Amino acid sequence: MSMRPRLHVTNGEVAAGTLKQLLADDDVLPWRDPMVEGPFPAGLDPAATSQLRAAYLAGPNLEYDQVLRDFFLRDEHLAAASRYREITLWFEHDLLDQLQILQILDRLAGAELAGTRLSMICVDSFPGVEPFRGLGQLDPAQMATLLDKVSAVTAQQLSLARDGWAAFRSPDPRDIETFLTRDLRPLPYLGAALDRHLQEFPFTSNGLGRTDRQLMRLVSEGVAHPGRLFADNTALETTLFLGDWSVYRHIQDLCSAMQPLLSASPYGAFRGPLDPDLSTEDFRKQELSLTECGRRVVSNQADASEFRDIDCWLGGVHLAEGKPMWRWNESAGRLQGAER
Amino acid sequence: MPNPPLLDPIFHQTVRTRLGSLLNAGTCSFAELKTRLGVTDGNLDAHLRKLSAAGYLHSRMVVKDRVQTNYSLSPSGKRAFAAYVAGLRAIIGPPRTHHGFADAGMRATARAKRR
Repeated sequence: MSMRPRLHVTNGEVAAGTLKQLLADDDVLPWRDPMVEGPFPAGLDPAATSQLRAAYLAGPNLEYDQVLRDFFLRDEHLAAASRYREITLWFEHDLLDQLQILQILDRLAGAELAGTRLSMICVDSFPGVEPFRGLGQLDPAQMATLLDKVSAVTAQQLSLARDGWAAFRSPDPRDIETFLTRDLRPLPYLGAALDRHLQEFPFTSNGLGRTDRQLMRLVSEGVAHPGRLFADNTALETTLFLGDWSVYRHIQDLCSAMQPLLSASPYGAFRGPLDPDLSTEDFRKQELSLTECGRRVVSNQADASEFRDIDCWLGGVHLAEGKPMWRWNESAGRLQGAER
Repeated sequence: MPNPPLLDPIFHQTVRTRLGSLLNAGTCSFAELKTRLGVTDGNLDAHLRKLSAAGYLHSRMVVKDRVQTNYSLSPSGKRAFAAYVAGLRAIIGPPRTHHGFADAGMRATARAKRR
């Protein structure tokens, strides 16, 4: 009888492609979902979560049916975990990867895996790769050296992941703050990652989350082109966790508020990279600038909520009219709640 | 006489045998698979999910004008499909040559039977 196969789970197509080259006899599952954006409410099973995620992620260039199909196929594959003799998670330290680790370990913690070894490789650096942004930067030979770093997933890690995942999905973000007071050493990058997640809540000073603040500040300093904005915003982060499309989505939101905070020329509205009527060159040539409302917000003279209705999800928290309006108090380094 | 081999139930189904054959040969998008197999979206979805639940499916997202996912058999899927094909061959018997039989020994057996 042949030996049962091995499965490697990682974030992103590039890292998955490298693993397929390096470990040609093994199966590879890319965990595709920009989890830092959009809804992850508590109480939904994987199928309902996938439907909600697909509805959020679908757009003009990404069909709902296709996104949903890929989520279902991904979930079916992970549910087949017991078919494998070993499952290895390959991830890095950033927020997106840490959330993916939580979701995957939460699912595996609930599976019957007596005959399956769970292991993990999670790194925040690689010799000679500066700045280290992720596993996608490594070639197969470099990736192979990480096999020395593989370690068995412990019961403590599984338990922490379950609790961390529940905190992330909670409608009350103070559950994350409570979770952050625990001993998180078994998942050493999780604390910093979740702390960064909390900074996406609107700041008390001007109502913008950290990504929007950074983008607005860069534009105020004269960074006008979308590609440059993505690169410079990345440089402001300790870890890269937002892809270019996610950054462009933020720009689009800032340009399309009730009273926009950014304006885009020459089209009036900001047009995304997959706009069928826009060449790549024309996409890159678009120029962003602050509107008068944007200038007042950047200088903390006005709150962004005066100019745009907020309706967004951060994990399990729905920030919207009529719901608790959680804010990030940057000087206190913690959340504060306020009825709107 | 040896027992006939067990056939993998994942591939031992008309649509999935053809699906396995296509995905073993290369990568295909959902639309290509649907056209080549002549099945509905729902039907193809159900068969892809069977393959994925066995760990037999790999996917890769590519961005052209639109975002598209291409599918292929995973390495364990390729091994399982090869074993399935080998099992079928064992049941059916050795392939015939243009002379009718694969080797001289079998031709001799056939001659003896005709007599």
